[in-house]
Amino acid sequence: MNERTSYEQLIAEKAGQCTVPDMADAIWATIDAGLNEAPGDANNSSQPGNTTVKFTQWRKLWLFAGSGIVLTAIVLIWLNYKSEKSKPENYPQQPKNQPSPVQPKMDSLQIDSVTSKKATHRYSLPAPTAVPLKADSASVKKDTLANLPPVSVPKIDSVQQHQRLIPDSSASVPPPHKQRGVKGITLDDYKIVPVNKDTGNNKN
Amino acid sequence: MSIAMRYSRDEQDAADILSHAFIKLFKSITSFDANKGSLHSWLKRIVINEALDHIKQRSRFCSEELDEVNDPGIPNSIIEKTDADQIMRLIKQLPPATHAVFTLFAIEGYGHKEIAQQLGISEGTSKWHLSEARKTLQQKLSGKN
Repeated sequence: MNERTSYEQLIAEKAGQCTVPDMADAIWATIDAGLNEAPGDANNSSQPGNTTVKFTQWRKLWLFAGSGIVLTAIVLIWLNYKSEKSKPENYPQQPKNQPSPVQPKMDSLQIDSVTSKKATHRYSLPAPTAVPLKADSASVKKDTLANLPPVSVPKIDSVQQHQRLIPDSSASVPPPHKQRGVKGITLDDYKIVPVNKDTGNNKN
Repeated sequence: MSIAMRYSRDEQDAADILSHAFIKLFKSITSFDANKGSLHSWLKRIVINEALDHIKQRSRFCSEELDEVNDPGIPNSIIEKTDADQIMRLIKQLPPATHAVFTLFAIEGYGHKEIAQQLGISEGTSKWHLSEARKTLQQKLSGKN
């Protein structure tokens, strides 16, 4: 029995007679609040598809912005790659293991010149033998240094680097002069020491 | 409001259904085509759909099915003697899914095929719910009188 019965038809008639509560104000307030949540939709309801148009505009804007960012990133990466690629062409390539050349300090150069004793040029360097750069190296004689086996010194890099920086400096330096005069006389012997006259009075 | 009251449990529930239905109506008023039907029937359709959405959210439909709807039979005299509000109160005491199927079938006049499409159930399930509604109403109305 899939048809409506007579009592069901009676129920349907009775359903239309039911009293309806007066909630019109509350319902309209809810409707008003609901429509104010989307003011664009409520005010422009006479324009069909306005929301879709706005969404499409935003989508286009984001698409343009995104493509611009991607394009800028690609250009920056390309420029960076190009600048890195052009570097070895401008500058001579150096071995990777050796550190970058550093300007040698003045102190180390002076020590070297004292050690060699032969060099008259201030920035002249000794022959490429292993020379220990110690503070008291000035007191060591040249013959002793020549007989010593080559010792690896951690601070030797500065000297070698300086040689690389000025490869022809030894060639440009004039040959060392022959020592003249009497041997055994040093510069201290020529120093004039002032005699204090009061010293003798104090002794007396 | 009377349509919303048929599907709701109380007045507040009916007011919510009606306000949501009107908001939908105002938002989609541009899609209204007078050639397809009157504004009243369109609004009625929106209110019923909104009410059924409320029912579907808060209740589950039984998976049992029936090929033929049972009719226990209720004398018309009993219905005639009973107050309309009292009958509606008895109908609202039914389980929400059964209440929805009975209202759609008996009051709105929909067939089982349409009810099944609207509620997303099978026709057999719709028939089962109608049978349960008839049985329960017959028991309550008979016991009352």
